[in-house]
Amino acid sequence: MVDISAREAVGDPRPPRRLAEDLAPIVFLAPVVLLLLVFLIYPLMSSFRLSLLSWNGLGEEGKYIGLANWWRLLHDGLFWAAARNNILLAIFSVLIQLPIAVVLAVVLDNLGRGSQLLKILYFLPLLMSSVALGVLFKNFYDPNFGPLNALLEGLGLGNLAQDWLGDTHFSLAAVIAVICWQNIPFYMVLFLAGLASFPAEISEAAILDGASEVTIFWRLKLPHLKGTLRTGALLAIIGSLRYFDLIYVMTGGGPEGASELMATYMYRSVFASFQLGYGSTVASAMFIIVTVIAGISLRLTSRLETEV
Amino acid sequence: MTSISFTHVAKNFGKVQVIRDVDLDIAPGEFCVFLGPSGCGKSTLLRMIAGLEAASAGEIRIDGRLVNHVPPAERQVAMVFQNYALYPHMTVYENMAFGLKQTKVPKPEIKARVAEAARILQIEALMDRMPKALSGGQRQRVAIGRAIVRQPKVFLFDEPLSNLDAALRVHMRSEIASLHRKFPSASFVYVTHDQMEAMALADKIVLLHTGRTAQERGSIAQVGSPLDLYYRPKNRFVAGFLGSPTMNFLSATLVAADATGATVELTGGERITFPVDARSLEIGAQLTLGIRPEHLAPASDATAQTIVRPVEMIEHFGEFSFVYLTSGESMPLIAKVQGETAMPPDQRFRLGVPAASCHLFGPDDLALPRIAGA
Amino acid sequence: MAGFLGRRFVLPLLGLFWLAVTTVPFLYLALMSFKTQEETYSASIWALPKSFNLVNYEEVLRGRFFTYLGNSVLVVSVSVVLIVLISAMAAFALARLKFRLSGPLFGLIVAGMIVPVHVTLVPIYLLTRQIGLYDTPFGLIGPYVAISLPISVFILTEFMRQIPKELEEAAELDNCGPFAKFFKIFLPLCGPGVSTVAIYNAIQLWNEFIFAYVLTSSPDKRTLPLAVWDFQGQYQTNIPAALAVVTLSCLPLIIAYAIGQEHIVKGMMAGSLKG
Repeated sequence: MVDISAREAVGDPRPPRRLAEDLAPIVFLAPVVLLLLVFLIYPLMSSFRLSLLSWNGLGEEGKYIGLANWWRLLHDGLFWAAARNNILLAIFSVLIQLPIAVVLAVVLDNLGRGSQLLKILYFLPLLMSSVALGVLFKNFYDPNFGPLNALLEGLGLGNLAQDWLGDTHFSLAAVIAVICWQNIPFYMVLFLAGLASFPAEISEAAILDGASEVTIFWRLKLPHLKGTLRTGALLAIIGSLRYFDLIYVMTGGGPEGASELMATYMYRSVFASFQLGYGSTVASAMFIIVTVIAGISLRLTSRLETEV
Repeated sequence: MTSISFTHVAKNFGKVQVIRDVDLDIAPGEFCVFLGPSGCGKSTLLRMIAGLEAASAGEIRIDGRLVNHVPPAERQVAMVFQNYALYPHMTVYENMAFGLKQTKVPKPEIKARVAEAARILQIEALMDRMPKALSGGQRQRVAIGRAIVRQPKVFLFDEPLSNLDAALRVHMRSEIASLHRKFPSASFVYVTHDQMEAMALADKIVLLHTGRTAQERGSIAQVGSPLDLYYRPKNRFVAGFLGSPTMNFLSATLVAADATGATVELTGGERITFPVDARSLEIGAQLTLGIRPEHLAPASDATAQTIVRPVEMIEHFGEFSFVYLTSGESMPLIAKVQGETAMPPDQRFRLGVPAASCHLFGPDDLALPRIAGA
Repeated sequence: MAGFLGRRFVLPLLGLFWLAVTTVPFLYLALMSFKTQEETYSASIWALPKSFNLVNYEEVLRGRFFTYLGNSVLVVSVSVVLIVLISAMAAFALARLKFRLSGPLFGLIVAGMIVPVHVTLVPIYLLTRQIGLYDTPFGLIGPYVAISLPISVFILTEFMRQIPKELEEAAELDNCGPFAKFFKIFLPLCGPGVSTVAIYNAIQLWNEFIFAYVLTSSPDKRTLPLAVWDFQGQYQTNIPAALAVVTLSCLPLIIAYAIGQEHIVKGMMAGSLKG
């Protein structure tokens, strides 16, 4: 018995507007707008302006050199290698984290009692700061004193022992492993919620139709998770493109740029090489790349959403 | 002296006009019910009194004062919402006191007013509870209490009983009626889609219609006392809306009309005469005869005006029965017959049609005037 | 049959396997932090410490650990209060007040969620130097609040939109203007949303590294994640001491987690709204 309600209509002349009501939006929104202007919009624009300078960050603002930094960026193999690493990180994050997270979600969904405790313990890595995690795993991977190589030797796999972070072949993979270790439980909880929203009646109807648990999972539950999986992939991709902390702490982008990301490269250009102008160019390029890819992924997923 | 008056009030939501040309006076102390099907704008009309909606055109006055541009809190009205709208984070006491605090009423007076309202509603024991710890009926009382403490000139109720179960609904209905007796000078305006509630409570019913008819004739279908609307519906919509089961409508052809009444012929060939003035119409005009199921009674052959129809089925309720008869129309003809009724051996039923209970509707669905003294 | 086997054996085994994967690094961390420096060279890495000596913890706690902790508490609590208040105000306006720019403004604020914060690092570093907040804990608050606002506004706007319209109308009849409506009705009713926003941002900021690293330099102005960083430099060869710092830095959140796992998991998952 809902009568057509007022607020859904457009352009409804609400009757009694006092001055306070006209001023209210301004007062309520001023702090947010102000803070975002100062700490988000202005820095973004400033970054583009700085990208046109040659400046070591000291003394007077540097010299205007037009698009020279951008020209340099286009031919900077180190930057593109870093961008490539970001994309590798994104791909492997999606391919490793999501499937394992689905498996773990299924495990917890089926275990019943005890699953609550497991979930609590699984979640622990997410509480750690990336610095703490970085220092922990730097020691974990240490070729001489680290427990990983000791463990491999103990298992008779001593020939697999490596200088994990110091070898250009392994450093990126070693850090990706830690990133996955930390983030899998996040996606696990996401998918667990997705599985929990699967209607029990449908499972029951399928059982009456003679479907096995395995069939129910593949034919019914996994399709039900499709939207959640897409959200998860989107988050993993956007997160990977702007990743910084753990790589910086564990390898600093090394050795020889083997684990360099756009963000660590930007950081090193500014704060290690004192190329404030060029570092800002890297930052601005990173902003463009992340925005474009995130925009495309968002558009793609929402388009898929409407198709389904 | 009127308490609330509407003059040519209209309301548009975008391009959709939901209220059209409403003229209405509600007297002080009157219990006025807005009744109508869903989408007729009855809640919108109520919310315009509260100031929660603006009128798109026309004037609304409370106690003679033009209130179109007066904020809700300054209109001296109080409203009871359909879902109670109690503030979930406040106790019962705080819920009732909140509006007074906001209008800077001195604290001792707030206490006194809340205590008085709690006494009237018998919720003194609940004052420290949170709304979620209350039953539906208790929440309803608190919502009413919140209205009482404001000492309003007008109480507004927006379908206040529709969230309660059936038994409680009847009980709260009588409580609202007794509340009205306790505040004789306040006007009550009450929105419902339930005709029983409207009939039971109202001094005055405002029946609203919807859609195309509202566009052509204004939103108000008829205003009057409950029995007025029951016995003297002005048009077919009002006739069909009130009463359960709904009024029977039979196609009829006008065969005679004079100063004492009109005679029509039904599709079954029966001729019925009754005191309605149909002289404005031509003989042979296609009309609709309306007769309520409860006014059709089993009749002997000797009764003056009767119709005989085959019985389709009978529903037994003990106290009365519904007899469904083949009417020749899309809907069966229903008669509400007192007591038990057995299926006649020939499966046909003879019903008396009392002349005083017949309504005649013209091609425009308006009721033809009754002849006075009849 | 396959389903039965899976449920009885395969799934629990997988569960235990991941439990091992999750806990092994933590076990290593805890074991090492109790060892003496000599033990790390002599005995096997996975051996239990000879005795649970607290020498590493003593050494760390005698250092500046509590200064770092105090700075973290200060910065995070001030930031979270500001974030909650400012984002709730904005969310109220965006969800409940009618004005022309409401839609575009909401879109713009929410778009802030995908901006990589590192892009703002250099300009914010320069700005912080200019206004004289460089190397103070207070210099962190502005950027911290700003980077947390988009998602917080997003979450709370959803919350505010779900509050029934009738409560707002009842408040109007009770003589509430927009400000009374916000402070007396909407803010208290957003309790669950506010706690989600507070927890999510508190954890993110508690662990925040890069801004703290760039905007402060002296140990007595830095926050907890930097304690790990600074001590790591200091104890390059003393692995047990470095790991004792790591343990200590994780302890506050782990204690909080032990008290309210449900809330913390829910708060952390607020990040999934970013999609």
